[in-house]
Amino acid sequence: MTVTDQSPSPIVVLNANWGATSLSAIHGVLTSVFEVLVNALDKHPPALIEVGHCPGEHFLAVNHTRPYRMYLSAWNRYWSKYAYQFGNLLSRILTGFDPHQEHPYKWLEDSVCEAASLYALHSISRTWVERPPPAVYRAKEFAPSHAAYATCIEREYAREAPPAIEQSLRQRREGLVSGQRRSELVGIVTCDLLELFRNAPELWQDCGALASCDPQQNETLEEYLDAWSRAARSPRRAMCAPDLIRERLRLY
Amino acid sequence: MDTKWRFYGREAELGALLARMRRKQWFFGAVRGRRRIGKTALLQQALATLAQDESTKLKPFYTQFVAENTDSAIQRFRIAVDEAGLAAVAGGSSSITSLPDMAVAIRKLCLGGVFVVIDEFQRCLRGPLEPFPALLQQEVDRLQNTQGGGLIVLGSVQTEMEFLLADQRAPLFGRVDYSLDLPPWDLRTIFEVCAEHGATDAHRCLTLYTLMGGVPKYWKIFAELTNVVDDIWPRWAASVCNSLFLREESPLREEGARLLDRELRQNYISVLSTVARLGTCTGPELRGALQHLPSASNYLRSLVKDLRLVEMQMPILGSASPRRARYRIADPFLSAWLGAIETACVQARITPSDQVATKLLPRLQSLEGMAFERMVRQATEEASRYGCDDFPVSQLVHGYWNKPVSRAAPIEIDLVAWNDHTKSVRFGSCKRNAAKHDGAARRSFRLHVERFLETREGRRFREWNQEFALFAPRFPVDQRRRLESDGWVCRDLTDFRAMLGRNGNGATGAFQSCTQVRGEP
Repeated sequence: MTVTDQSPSPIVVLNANWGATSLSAIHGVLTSVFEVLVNALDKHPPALIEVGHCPGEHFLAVNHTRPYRMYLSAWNRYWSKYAYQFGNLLSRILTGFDPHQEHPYKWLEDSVCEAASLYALHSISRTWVERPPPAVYRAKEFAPSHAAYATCIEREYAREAPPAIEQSLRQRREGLVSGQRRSELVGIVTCDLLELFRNAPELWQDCGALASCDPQQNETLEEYLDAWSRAARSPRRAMCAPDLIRERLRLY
Repeated sequence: MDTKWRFYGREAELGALLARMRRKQWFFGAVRGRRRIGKTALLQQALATLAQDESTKLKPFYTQFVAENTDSAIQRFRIAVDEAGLAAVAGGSSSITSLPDMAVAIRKLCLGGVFVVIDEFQRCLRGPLEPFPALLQQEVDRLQNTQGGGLIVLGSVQTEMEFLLADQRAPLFGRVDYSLDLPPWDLRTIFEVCAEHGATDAHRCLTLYTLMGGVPKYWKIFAELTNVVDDIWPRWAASVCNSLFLREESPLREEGARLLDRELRQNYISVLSTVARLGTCTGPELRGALQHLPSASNYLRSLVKDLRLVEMQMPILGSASPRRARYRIADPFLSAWLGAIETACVQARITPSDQVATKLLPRLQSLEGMAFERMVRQATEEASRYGCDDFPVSQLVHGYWNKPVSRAAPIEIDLVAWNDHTKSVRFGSCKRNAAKHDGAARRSFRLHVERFLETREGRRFREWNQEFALFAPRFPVDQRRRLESDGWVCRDLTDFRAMLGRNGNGATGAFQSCTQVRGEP
């Protein structure tokens, strides 16, 4: 599946106090992220996505009606923040990740979405140089700022990282990882996944298959990764993302 | 200073205005603010930004009311309709021959989805346009609950706009459903403009803030100066004053007088000038200096409440009795004008202006001291509001002083800021010159704080985490190191600039400024 400039965009930017910017500029930023992630995950959202503004935290409103509705706290012309928040929420839609459903592997899904938003930032940092969105004034000059913003977040994760990932994973086996430990774990795994996917971008396609795995049906992380692996396996590739993640997390 | 001028700051105001304009429901809006504050620029920027979304549909119409006579007002309106290419929407420009026709044409434009912007609306209060608000009222009432477009009136004379729109006897009373009072720029914007227009060091930033406050048009005039000596501070400051105010062709030479003439009658000006001369004063001090004006208190009250040109400061945590209040000019430009520039402009008529400018500097430095205190309080509040982790405050930031009767044991603290949640309090001392934070000054500062902690208001802070902060426009590295090693917190304008610029949001994209900014002549 390829999304191009000519494809009709399923994104609707809702009216709000977005600061000193036009809705078309915001739409241009979100569309560039949309193109990157839909192409990477090879999956299209099944309904329109309405994007509103709400100060505080960005979130995806979970309800059973469509279109999807998400709220970004990004505003004004902080384009990278828009891209980061929208990338995170769009990947939740594409991976079927319900942030309100508690389960033991949430940290992994969280990490995948976080890695997706950072991947999108790095990607548009390159694509804006060649194909800057026309509605975004001086987008080409701004392009390097996306990578700088992503790197800044990655550095923050590295700074917060606890000494050993194994320790966090052991804790996870004992129950749900919560609070600060969970955020640390997400940070480490995000950086790890980002490196993995950067070297093999085709692995993003496997993340779309996450939507068909029911975390409640799997008692251990290994079982969950197995289920994901079965859903994602493609005859075209020898390895798939869950296998590599299993290897990466040194679970065996 | 070759950076091109653009539209700065105003994100929240512009965003709110745009959000209202995008709602596709007709509205009657009013944008108020002092002269030169950027009302017209804001509207034009909003229309330009909106046009990026609706380039084929957006129809703006801008006109400026003049108060010459009815015929010329109608003629100007007709020309504006033709120039905007909206004659057909307005029912034909030749049919507009009277004030009622003008009101009807505005309704027709609005019904055609046009955003009608009327600048200098306060001119309807008297003169040939006086009947116009009553005529407009009928049309405004007919436009309620219609789709698209809007009518936005702009006005700079606060009292007159209030009278036209908020007075119960006014025809348009209760009609405004979107109102925006445009404040001066915040410090974040001022720092940004300083950085882009050649005032990168802290002292120059302070000087410009002292002279111009946060009034965009004055900053634009400064940015466009081509003959400023870019040298050491005294020569630079004299050159700026000379270029802005003192030469015959200086763009702001008449500005203070115009501002006062438009807004005020003579008795108000007497009260304002006295407050400016005294710096910061109490009510009795002011009455003492204005014995020839028995109703000075009434004028003062109106200057505080209605015109907002004088700021009434209450001591922190004290009762709200006006007897405990101190007064000072609220607008930095007006403070500088009345405190120093006005006299210098008079002198410059008979003395070479560069000599007057040099003699102006000591007075300017004294004004900078007061302006710096204002900047520090504003910066502390802004930094807290933007989530900088320097000192989050839970209460507004104030200074503290005791009653004038306690002269034997005075308490004067420039800044008291506190956070109820973390039980932290910051006491601050502001000096225009960092070297003035010497041992004696620091001991005196601590003594004032000790006295404060003994008062009824200060007792609550005794067990709190106490911070003692010293503020200066710029701290030399050695002095800062020495002071910080002794436990003092040192903050200068460079720190505040960094704090306010660092917001965790990443870089800001460029903004396509509206190029055709028109406004007051």
